Amino acid sequence: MGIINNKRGDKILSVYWFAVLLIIAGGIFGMVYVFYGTPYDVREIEARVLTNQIADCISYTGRINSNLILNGAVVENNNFLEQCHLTFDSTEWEEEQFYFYVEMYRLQDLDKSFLEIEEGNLNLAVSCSVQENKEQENLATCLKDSFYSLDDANNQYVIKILTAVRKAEKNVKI
Amino acid sequence: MLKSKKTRDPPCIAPPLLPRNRSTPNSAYITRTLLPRNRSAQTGETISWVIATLVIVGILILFIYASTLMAKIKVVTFKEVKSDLTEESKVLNGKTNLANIILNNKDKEIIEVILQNDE
Repeated sequence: MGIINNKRGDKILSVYWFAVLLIIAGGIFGMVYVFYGTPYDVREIEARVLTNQIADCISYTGRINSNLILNGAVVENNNFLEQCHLTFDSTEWEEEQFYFYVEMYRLQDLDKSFLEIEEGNLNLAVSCSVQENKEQENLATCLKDSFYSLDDANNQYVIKILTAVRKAEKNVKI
Repeated sequence: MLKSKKTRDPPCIAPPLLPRNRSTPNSAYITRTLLPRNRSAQTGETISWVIATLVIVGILILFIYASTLMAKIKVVTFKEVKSDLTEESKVLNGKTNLANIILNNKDKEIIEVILQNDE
């Protein structure tokens, strides 16, 4: 009868249940923290939007902007960023977080570029070459696209656009 | 509800009221001391709880790992934002098509091949 009165086992079991409860609660907290602590990566969308903006600036209605190419010749001293209403300087970031490189090829001569435009943070160009081999989320997200257009003299061009968006701190958990 | 003292069950204690006569020894004390202490049931139960704990911890670690993998693919793409976006309605494809229409281009296929090779 004296053994029945001993409640030590019950106490140990209560502590055990409390410990199990804590472990499960900690696990759920860990899962939620890991999932919701990781930011959404929207750099691909930003790169796509930048590409579309540049493409609109180069050729809006199937014809190349006459401020860039006129009568089959390159117009010098064109301020591309200003023309395209693009501002890469931001007070939020110490250095520029965007980069783009536009190459325009004549359809007759696809080996040699007719016009090249490069703006933004040049360091990001290196990221793009690295990303081609292996995707590194801490580096800039790059996007390559190309389209076909005509100038006012009906010369045909293939336009290649490479855009890079860094902003790793806001899009990737570092 | 609390029971009154009269109706409460008798306390489970060793029977002290039995006559303490050496000729008739207390049977309760004899059984307590002479019975072998077999704790295999307790040990079995403890082991099963230990294993259960390990299983719980293992499942939690698996779930945390799965949530880590799910967190890595939190990449929002253009198609997810505009689910109705088809290949034809891409802005750059539209420009190419427009230029082809302007020139009444017969070499559309060649240009498409060139553009696809670039991508």
